[in-house]
Amino acid sequence: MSAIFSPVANAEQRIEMEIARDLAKHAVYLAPVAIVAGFVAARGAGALGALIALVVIAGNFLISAAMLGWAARVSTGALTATALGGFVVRLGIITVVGIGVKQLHSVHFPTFCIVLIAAHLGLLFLELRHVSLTLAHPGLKPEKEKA
Amino acid sequence: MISQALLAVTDKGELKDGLSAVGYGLAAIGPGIGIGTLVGQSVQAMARQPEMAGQVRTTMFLGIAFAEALALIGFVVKFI
Repeated sequence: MSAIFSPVANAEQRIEMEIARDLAKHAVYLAPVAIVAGFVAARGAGALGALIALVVIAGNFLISAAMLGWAARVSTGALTATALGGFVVRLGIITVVGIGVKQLHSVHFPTFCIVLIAAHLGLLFLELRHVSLTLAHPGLKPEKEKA
Repeated sequence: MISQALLAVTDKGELKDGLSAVGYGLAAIGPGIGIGTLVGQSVQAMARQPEMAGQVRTTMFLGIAFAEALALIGFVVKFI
């Protein structure tokens, strides 16, 4: 793999994407629980609301990681601009999706909102256990080798 | 006085919608400031210690996601 020049050191490592993929993987694991909870709360509309919320959260993490990873390979200025601009853009997209979901009668909106917040915070707190923060592995902790 | 005047000329539902949108906008300011400070400090840390950039980027990404949760709470409160 050819080295990519960037003012940001370790820019060639896709650290953000590694974390976001792990978050999305955990969101998939969490999906059955959230969908069943949504179904218990408001039948099919609740289950659909929970599913849409999880897709929105996972998509948000992945888009954020892709944008920040790209910006880190460009420059520190681009990283700053992308972090702030990306926040506004993604918040706008989530708002538009939320307004759209609210118009749908087949989706239970309070369930969508509760799952959106709970899954976002829950996934992040869960992810903190998997983050390594060492010089050798700045992203996730390496998995234990199976005997 | 002003609120009574507004209520006299505006539908109550419209006023509530408008105020909730203003509240959502105000709720997004806090995370915006937080993300700005976080990214600024992270870039400074990467410039000072480039060998730590990987760890700084990891912490920065998680910090941005945590700050975004506040904006999402504002979004939820607006609609509920």
